[in-house]
Amino acid sequence: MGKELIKLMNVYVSFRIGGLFTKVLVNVLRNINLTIYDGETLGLVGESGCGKTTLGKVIAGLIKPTSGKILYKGKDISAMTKDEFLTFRREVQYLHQDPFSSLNPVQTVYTILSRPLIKHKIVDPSNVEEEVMELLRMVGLTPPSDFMYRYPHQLSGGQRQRVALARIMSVRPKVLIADEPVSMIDVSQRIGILRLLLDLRKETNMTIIYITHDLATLRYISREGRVAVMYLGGMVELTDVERLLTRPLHPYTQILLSALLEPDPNITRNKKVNLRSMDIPSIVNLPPGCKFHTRCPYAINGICDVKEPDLVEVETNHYVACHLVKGDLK
Amino acid sequence: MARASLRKTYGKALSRTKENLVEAFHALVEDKLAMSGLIILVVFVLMGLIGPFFIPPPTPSPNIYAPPSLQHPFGTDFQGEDIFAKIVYGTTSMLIIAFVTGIFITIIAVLLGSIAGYLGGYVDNVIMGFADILLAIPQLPLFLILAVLVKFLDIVSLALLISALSWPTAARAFRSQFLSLKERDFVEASRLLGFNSLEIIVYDLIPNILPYILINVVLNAVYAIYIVTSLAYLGIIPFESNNWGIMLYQAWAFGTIYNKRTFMYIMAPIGAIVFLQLGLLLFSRALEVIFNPRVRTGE
Amino acid sequence: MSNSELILSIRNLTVKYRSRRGYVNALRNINLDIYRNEALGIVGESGSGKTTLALAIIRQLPNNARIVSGSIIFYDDGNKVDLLTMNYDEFRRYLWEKIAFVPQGAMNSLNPVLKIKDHFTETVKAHNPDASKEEIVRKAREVLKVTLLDPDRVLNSYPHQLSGGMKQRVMISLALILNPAIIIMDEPTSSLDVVSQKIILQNLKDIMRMFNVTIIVITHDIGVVAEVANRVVVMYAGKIMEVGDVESIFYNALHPYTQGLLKAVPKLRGEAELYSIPGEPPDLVNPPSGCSFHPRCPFAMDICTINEPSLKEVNRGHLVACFKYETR
Repeated sequence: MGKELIKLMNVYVSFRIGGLFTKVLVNVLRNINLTIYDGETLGLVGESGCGKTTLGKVIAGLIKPTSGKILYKGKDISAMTKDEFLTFRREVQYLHQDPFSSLNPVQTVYTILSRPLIKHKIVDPSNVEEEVMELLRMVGLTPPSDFMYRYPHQLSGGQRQRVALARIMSVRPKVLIADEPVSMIDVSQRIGILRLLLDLRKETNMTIIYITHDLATLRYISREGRVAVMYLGGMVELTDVERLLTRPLHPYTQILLSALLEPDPNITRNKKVNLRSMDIPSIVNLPPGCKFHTRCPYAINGICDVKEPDLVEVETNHYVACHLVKGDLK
Repeated sequence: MARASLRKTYGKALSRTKENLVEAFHALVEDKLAMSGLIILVVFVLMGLIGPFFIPPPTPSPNIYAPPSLQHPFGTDFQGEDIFAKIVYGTTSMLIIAFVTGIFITIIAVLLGSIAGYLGGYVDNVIMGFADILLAIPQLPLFLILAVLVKFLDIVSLALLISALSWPTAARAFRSQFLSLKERDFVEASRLLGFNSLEIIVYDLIPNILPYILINVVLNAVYAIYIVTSLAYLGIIPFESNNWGIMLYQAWAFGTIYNKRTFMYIMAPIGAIVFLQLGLLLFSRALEVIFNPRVRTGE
Repeated sequence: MSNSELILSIRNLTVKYRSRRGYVNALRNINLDIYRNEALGIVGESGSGKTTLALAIIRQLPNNARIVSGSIIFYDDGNKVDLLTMNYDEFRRYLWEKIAFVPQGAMNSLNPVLKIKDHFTETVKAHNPDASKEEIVRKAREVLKVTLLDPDRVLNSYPHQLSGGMKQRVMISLALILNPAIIIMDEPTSSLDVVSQKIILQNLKDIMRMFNVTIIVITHDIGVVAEVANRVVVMYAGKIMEVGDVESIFYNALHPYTQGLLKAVPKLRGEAELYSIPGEPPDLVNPPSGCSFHPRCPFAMDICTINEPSLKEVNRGHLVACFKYETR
């Protein structure tokens, strides 16, 4: 593993939602501690509402944590000077899920790609054209002249996502946070985008944080990487991708794995989901103790519904937040 | 590689723009209502621009209250002036005041609406609070009072005054547009690329509502015509006797409405106002057809 | 399907949409038989025509659509009726009573000011004005239990008090309340989270058995098809490319598009290397000549660019539209 690049320390995020008089405090992220190493691929996995997108945006500096610290290259991003923050901002980029919303509909591909180049004087003004073409070639939109002056609505979902990636690559990022980048793209084009991400990573050695609900896709993008599983704003398991797939320890991870549909009828039909309760508790009204105990088939009354377990290392590089797992392995 | 391929891409871009224009034109021709709006407006603009070169200015004559005839299509008024000529000569000032006010209101509204919508919070509260106060004051009585205090010297200062008091409705509309636009991911993407709020408003947000801005200019022009006509009718802006509102006032004051022979004296300015307004409203529809690529390509 | 009793038979169905760019060829010459009590999965990407097919069956196509040709025969207890030509008022009775439709993102189609109980009452009363309230509630409890919902809690709730997964299950229960012969579901689980999706799909099989109902699931997700379908239709560019039982499609796919699609889906185990289908989805205003998949097909021959292959039975019950399998 490379050296520490981003470090999250006791990060909490809460929002106020509701009307004028009935505001409630919602804890979207609770006590996140996470170190991201230079050059690694880290997956953030969980279902909708688990806080994975919020965590991604916290890392990108788009959402300020309610409490806790985020260090980038050892510096607290809330204490950075304006210049330092701008550098951080440029080096940590975010790829949105929906390429139909992330590209400005009234700008041509050329405008979209040339603006950051001009703003940050990344290339000499006379070379902007050439650089735009180079970026398009880099993301596989060839020949570039076919795409430069098109508007987003004239492109397919896959092509739009490639343009969004080209825009990000224009500022030479060190970290790319990719939020479900293929979930809104046709199946036949998904692999193309994933492969492009892999190629760009190999070429630039950038760090990738891949946010998804689909462990199969994550496995494709990062076989050697790590993955953090999230549930209702907290981290429940953190380990290597292969280990998580073969030896999941947290009951929630086990259920998530058995719930994932697989493109093989014999396998997928033999996997059954066994839960105490089917429905996720509302994030507005979180249960006490372990947040999963209301659904967990192994929950022990008097323990799991009282105290929230900490994320502890139960074996080398395998962190789990579960009262049941803690005892067995240490 | 550069030269040749560059020429190629530029050539492509040019042909694409041409394609878009042709597409927009076809869509416009297909939309009968939008097209008729455009035609009405062109007629009025031509009337205001080149009408005075062909039609002699209205001059008093002994032939008062003449009925419509070949020489006087709409008849003459109480001082024997040709009503048709008055309508033609009134067009220029009406168009100027309509568009100058429309543009002023829109500029103020976009400026304040974008700042309030994009920045939100404290700034939003102050701007919108001020807008609410202005909205709460009835407009026409306010102008009546102001008329006593300020002298309306010329068309442009009148336009400025109307704009200064009438921006809140449009500003509210722009604010809500900005509120919804700023949630789109491309705004966040621009922030991530290091662009500041001003750059985002100018380069990302405003181009997205450009058609809406232009439509707003037209709709505010419609509003300005109502206000100016009302003020003229009430006798507050007496600087020009060919104003359609003043013609209405005079027609009313001299009781022509009760006389069948002079029916056109009152109908001509009303007709001119109605047609111009209709033309403007339908023209705003044409703008939508031209600028909205989705409407245009039927996707 | 061994005990193959026809319930729906689609013949030569062609549907076009009018757009400013020209006619969009949404469905081209669709021929498909659907059998009683089967779970049919229709899989395709956006623009494949799968949703248009569903909307044509329930006659809810948008205004700019035109049915150019075709018939949809519904076998109703020994009677044969053409859904497309029958009087619309008569057809309306068929909707819900014989054929129920659960649209994509169905959970948003619940009326926010009505309790769930009232949704059931309204639906039943629209078809059977004499039904008593008690009878309706009794039946509603039954269908809610089938979708693993707690009737006591759900019946008296407003839609906003339920989660997305619960609302989706309410919609499926609503579709069941009049005991239809067919339920068509468009992307029944695409807006749900992983665990709810699995549980609902697991549950569909029980529902089919208990209610004797034919299920048509329309989806872009191959995993959904693998989970619920016993027969699969693969669509591409408004045409059916391949039809077969679930084993034939997943373990012996014949059409190059199906093969590519299967290889393009990331898996949880085994070889991680993936294949990607080259090229872009076709333009439906100007579809490619010949076989519409030929520009992306690794096996394309000269004939594929000229002639259009028709759906032919290669193995028993396994049909494919591809010149590779035509013996000339």
